[in-house]
Amino acid sequence: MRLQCMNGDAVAFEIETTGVQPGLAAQMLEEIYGAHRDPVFRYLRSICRDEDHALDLTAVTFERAFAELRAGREPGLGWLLRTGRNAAIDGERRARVARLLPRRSHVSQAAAPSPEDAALDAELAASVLRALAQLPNPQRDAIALRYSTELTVREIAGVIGKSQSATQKLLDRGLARLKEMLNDLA
Amino acid sequence: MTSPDIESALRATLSRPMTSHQRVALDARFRDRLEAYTHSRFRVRRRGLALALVAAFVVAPTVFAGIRLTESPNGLSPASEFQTEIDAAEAVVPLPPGATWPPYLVADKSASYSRGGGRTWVEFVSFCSWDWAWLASTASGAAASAQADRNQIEAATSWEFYQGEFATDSFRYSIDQVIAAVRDGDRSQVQRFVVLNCGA
Repeated sequence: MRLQCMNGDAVAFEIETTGVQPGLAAQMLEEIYGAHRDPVFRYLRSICRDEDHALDLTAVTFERAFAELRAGREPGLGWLLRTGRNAAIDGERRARVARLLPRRSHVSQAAAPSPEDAALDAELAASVLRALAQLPNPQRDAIALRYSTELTVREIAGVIGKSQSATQKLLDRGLARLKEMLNDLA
Repeated sequence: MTSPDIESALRATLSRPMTSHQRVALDARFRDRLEAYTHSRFRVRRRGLALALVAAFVVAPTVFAGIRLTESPNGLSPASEFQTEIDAAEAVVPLPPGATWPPYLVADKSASYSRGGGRTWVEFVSFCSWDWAWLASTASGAAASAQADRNQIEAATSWEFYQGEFATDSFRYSIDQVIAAVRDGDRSQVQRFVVLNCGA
């Protein structure tokens, strides 16, 4: 709806008709956060290996989701994973620069091992993560999405922006490479 | 190690749930970021809106006053007159029980406005409020409230914002779509409308 008085090209008055009421956006965000917080974190933890950083990236992802909601769009899990992935890639670029600087000692309470973690076969998990980190990024991404969030090949393809057949190849090759690496270790 | 072994190890490693420590930490960081985002965005938005209003309402009428190129059907009115229109409309335009007029529904003193637009603006805000109310009533299963909300929404076609000189065919079509969705009980369509159109 427009109430306008034009002087040449200048719109003198126009009612704002876009954007989401902040209260509604916050309410919708709470629902989305509750539904997707865990899979987004699991995926980001799988690709950045630093759990504290994964927590930050997850928070950033949902902050961006709020902007999406305010703009009248509803972010689904695919959008969240894509956004988290982009944030991780940006963070990786910045980390390359940061690695040149002295590191401060930082022990995060969030990184403390849980009883669940302790119950895992820690040695095997560490081996899996080490091997995963050595895969080329596209293969690592596809595998992380598959096994951290249980997405289908089609859904993974949507997140990483590749065709389904290309995604399937990434998964197959990534798994084959992991098998080689883990068997070499054994 | 066989392929099933590897898949099993991957699943166990990558899909292990968040710990309670991690969940608490994430919740805190999420709230912090959201709060910071909300404050910074609204500050910028208000400032941007104020600048746009100053440019559009004050500068443009001054520059073009001599050649009288206005498309407003009744010409421009000062903010005080527009505020009077808003106040008068707020006194008679219905709101759902418990609802109040939003704080942004005021005239900026440094601006000029389309004469007669105050009532239209107030009615549009009211229409949004009834849509919100209908969504709340239908969500909670309050049939009587939902019917009362629906009656008000349907009555909006007789209002000035729908019948008057500021309404366009596309605007009326949008309102018709909302009314049809309410009649059909289509909550998602109504929600979509309010999400897109009923912001501050």
